[in-house]
Amino acid sequence: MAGKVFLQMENISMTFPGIKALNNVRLDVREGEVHALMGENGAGKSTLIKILSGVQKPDVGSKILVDGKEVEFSGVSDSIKHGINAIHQDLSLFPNLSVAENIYLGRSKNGKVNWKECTKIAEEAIEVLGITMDVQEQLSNLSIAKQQLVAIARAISFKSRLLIMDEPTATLSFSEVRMLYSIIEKLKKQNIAILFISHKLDEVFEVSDRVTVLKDGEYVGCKDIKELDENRLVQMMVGRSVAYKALNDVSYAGNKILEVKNLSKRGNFKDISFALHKGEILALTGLVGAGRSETVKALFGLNPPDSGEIYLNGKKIDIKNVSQAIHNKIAFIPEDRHEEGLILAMSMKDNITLPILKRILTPLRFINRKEVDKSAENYVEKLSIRPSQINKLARNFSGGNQQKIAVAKWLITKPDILIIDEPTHGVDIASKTEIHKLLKELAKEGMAIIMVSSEWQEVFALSDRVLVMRHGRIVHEDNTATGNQDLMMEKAILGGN
Amino acid sequence: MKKILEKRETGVFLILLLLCFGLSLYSPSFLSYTNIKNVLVNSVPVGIMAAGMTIVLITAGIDVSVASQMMFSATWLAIFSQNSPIANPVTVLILALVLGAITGAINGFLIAAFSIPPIIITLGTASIYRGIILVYTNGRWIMNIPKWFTALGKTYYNIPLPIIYAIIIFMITAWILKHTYFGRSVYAVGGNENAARYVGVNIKKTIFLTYFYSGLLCGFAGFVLDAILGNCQPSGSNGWEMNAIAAAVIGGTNILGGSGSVIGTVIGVAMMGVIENGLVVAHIPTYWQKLVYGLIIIATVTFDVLRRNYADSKKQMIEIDQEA
Repeated sequence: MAGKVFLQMENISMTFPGIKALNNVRLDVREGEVHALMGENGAGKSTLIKILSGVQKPDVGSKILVDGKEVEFSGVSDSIKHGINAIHQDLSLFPNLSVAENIYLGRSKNGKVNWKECTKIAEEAIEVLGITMDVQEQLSNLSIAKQQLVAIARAISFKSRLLIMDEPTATLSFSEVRMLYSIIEKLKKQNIAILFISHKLDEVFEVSDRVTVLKDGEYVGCKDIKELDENRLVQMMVGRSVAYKALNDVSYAGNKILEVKNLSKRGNFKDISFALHKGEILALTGLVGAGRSETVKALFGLNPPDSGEIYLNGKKIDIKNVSQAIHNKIAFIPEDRHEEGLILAMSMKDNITLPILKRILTPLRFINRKEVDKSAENYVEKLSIRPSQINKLARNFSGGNQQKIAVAKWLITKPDILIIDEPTHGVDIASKTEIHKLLKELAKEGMAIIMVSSEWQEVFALSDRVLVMRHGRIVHEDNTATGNQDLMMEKAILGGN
Repeated sequence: MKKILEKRETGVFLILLLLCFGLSLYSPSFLSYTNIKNVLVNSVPVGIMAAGMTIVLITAGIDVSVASQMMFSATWLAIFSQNSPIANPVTVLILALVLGAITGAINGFLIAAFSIPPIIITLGTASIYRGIILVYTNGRWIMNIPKWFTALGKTYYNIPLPIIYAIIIFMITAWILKHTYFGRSVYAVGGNENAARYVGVNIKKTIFLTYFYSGLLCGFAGFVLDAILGNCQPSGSNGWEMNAIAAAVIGGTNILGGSGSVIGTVIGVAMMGVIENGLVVAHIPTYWQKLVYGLIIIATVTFDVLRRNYADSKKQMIEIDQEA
């Protein structure tokens, strides 16, 4: 099975002003293998990929060998020439162009576009994947999963020998992930190597042959996947073992705080009824597109329902817009925290205190800056946001810390009900554990939490009760601790009966 | 057929037809050959600039210096044609393109090399180009452009030459957008700049070429303007950059970049010409023009945004199981 070595990277260092992002890192990839690249956020994975795909140039002394010959990548086209293609996490496609052109773009350097060739290349590439697709369709009309296949087809069409997949499953549903795995298998058979970047351990164990682990810009090691188990891998990544599970102590459910009856919205969800108690974490799970986010958005006034009733502490309330939701002490932390949650050009303290500015005015209606500093510092400590400089711009924090800032921003409103959509989407394992702990603590303090999550591990580790949604309906409800976990997953995928 | 109906351009074209139909009922002279010809010929300079503007807008840029670039070219051409012994149709045309290339290249270089927002650079250069010709001419009109020059703007065998120029420019621009690597890069850069970088598109070069091309067309528009008018007012054509932008936007070019077409812009230009003329035909004081322009721009763009939002909302629908 072990093919010959296709790519070797040796002594790779990368220095940015003031930071050494990579220090003497190495990586070798064999033909036809799936090689996982792992590490926490900030470990240097992205930088390494950028070097490998020609986006960034490493420091002098770094060596890259393809087929044993030393090469230099001075641009993206160089690495493509050597058969290395990256599929970036955001797919880096053009929504406004057709499938065919998305696959074709970047060729025809002599200035003219040959549309016949464009269609031909695209159709061939799609065929290699063993799928069918209308290549003249505009990309933005396709689902994310299909768009990803287009990105893969694009990479293959360049006679790729190494595909870099950056978190390919992050936005896919279960069945789509299955389809991706089968395509990876096909590519392996054609002797194409895959560098697989993922935060999800179970995936790495399922698809990869070998793993290279980075930590803080340093090379930790490269192991055959068979030599590892989850704990050992996590240990390599964080340098200590993290108690990932076992947060599931018995929590007490208090009074019923929220009750939803027969909530429906055409094309979104139907007959949604459930209750939420103080101090409870209620998980709302199911496949992507099951209507989970739409449902919680309805509770926050972002997606008002057509019919149905919402009761808060036994009183019927209307939530037609966000300010009514906030007034009723409901907070919502959206999935896309960078895009929807933060104003990157503002300081951390201004971001955190934005939702409560109206509450901390001086008698003359000016903003009480002292109060701003105090509140911000309070939450920086509570969530251990690093670095703890409250005047630093949000832009200058790492991804994990930006997410914490976004969370702090909503906690500061002291909500009774916290709705959080995919709390740890794209977060490294250490931050994930911290966020889980935080949610658990908040629940203990009496906050009622609704968590939307596609990760079963997270659902089982964190929640007290689970609601499974499928095709816009709640198809299953159970206690997490006592319920049958296999049954829950089955319901999500297969639905009723 | 369905594809044609779904296209944004078709909708605007239908509105245009409706408008023409209404105006012809109101005043039969609207549909006369002379009137139609006047509408079209008067729209040519803005139309040529709008073609370049379309490309600029697709990259998510903007060029508010086009009217100044056109007048920069027109003024020097008028002076050159009156005073130079080597002035003839060929040298004038070459000079027009050279002048446009210079002003466009300066814009493109400043925007691409230093990544400065294009609206700032072109606001600045608009003022500079205009300032240079105003200083040189003291703001005086240049009258009596030679006969051989204005002959290039006349009508022969019922075919007005300026319209031929415009058609050639539109065809070249459409061809560039559809069939050249540069043209497709324009859509790529405007649609997703990062993705464009990752597929090896040279972003800076593409952006430079965009403003360079826009400048070239402005230079040519100056040539056509002199030929049509027979005189040159260095302080004239104020606000035409807005007409060029409006024409492109009415024709469906996304001001945020990524999409747009020359055919749409052509329809947009015709629409603006017809509205202007329609007000005259309908004996509405010309002072109403600006107001009506503004309303039409806002109405068409609002309609387009609503249409897109509607399409998006349909996409997000979830299939609900009918049985629980």
